[in-house]
Amino acid sequence: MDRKNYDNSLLRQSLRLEEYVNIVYRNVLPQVNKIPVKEIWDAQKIFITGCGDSWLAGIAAKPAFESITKKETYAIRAIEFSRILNNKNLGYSPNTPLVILISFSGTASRVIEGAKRAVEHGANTIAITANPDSPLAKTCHHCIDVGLPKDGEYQPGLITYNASMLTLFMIALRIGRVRNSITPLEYESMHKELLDYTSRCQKEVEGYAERAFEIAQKWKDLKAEDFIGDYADFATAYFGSAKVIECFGGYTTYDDSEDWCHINYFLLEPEKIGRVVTVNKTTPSFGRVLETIDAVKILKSPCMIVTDANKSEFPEDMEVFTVPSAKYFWMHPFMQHIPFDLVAGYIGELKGVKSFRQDDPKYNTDICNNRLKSGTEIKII
Amino acid sequence: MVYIKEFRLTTGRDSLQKITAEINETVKESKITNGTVIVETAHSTAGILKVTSFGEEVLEDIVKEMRRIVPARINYIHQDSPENAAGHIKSSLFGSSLSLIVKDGRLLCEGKQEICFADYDGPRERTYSVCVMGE
Repeated sequence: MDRKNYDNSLLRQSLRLEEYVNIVYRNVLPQVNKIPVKEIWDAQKIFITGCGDSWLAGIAAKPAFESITKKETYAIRAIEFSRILNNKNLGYSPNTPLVILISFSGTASRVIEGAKRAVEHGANTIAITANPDSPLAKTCHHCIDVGLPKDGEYQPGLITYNASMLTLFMIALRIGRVRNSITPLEYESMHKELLDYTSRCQKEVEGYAERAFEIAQKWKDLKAEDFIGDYADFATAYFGSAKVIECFGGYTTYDDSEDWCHINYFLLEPEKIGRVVTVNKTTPSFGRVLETIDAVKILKSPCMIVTDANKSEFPEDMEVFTVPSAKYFWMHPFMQHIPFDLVAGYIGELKGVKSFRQDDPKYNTDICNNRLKSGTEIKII
Repeated sequence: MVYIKEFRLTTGRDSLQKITAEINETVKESKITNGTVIVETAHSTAGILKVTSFGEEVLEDIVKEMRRIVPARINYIHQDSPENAAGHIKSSLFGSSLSLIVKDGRLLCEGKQEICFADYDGPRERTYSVCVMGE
């Protein structure tokens, strides 16, 4: 089989990732530096919300926020933020939070609703979007336009995920700089590492693609893909799981290494389930993940491991993607999703399934706005 | 004759680092026996100060008093960071260059005063230059 015949969007996006990261970095830096010092100083906690990949970018960036800003940070689902979160979290002085809302179109209904709620209760709000004229941008106090070229290829989400995560990292660095929770030397070093780490990983993508194509051929007929990752790596696991559904509508699940041993371990026909583990030398639960991998081996599940650790740490018959190490542990989710993204892209092509089920008209239904159109009114709580 | 030399240093937070030895060394290298020395840093949140050589606690007092005079407030119009905004002001108020006299191949203040590099927004990698002029 010739890999070139199975070109796909995730591969094309991966090959241009460094270029896009640099575009977003240049666009976002001056905007982030304008976030007022007073609002940063006010923030007693930080909420990050969005839908789908945007929310996952929040989960991926949460360790960065906690490490850099030393502030409580919550990556919260849009529905929980807009409808369920207790009001006392949103504006009781002096508990003013900083709320970061992510939507590339700026039109995601639940995210806009969350922004309205946060503003109404006195929280400081920042929109991350590619549409500065959108309702979300206009609702929030500040808008950061990631500045992605309009004609780019962004579906299924990969570059947009990195753009959201990069912008979040840069907001965290701005907060750390203003609050002096990191030194100016650390600030400069972390900024530099964001671009250097991207560059180191970009050099590996062609090699990843070759191996990803081999794995895709072996895995295309498996029953499901099951993802495992802890803390910062949990976002990578979750994102990989999302790509399974987006690229080929596959069955998938995800969990952390501990709960996996309590739940997913018992899935039927383990030899027909591909297990994807993301783990790093700096992962605090590295030992527990190794135990989990041993369980995967006993179950005889095909297994792919994305790691910056030495290959010798893992069983010989597993597909180990050794990826460059980042100087700061919280940067790993920025690049470690790429190996499985490529596998998912290739499986989609090998199966002949169009992403987001565009080959089937029933998936084009506008499921978000049916009730609104019939007159249901949203009440901000 | 003019002799110029640039130095690099890594600073700390609120640091006053003594650089008198480096300046003396530069004067010796220049072979100028009578003239002037200018010590300057081009950074806008750092400074060059002449302080007494009598005890480390004086340096601590200077740093603390500077913080009292120009605190790191959140309401400066310059919005980089409170430390940075205060640093710009300290650099302007307390100076970023010094002129010193060289007599018989030695700094006139030698033994009585120390020359310090002050970083008001550190730690950072910084530079300063020493220019010796004379005969």
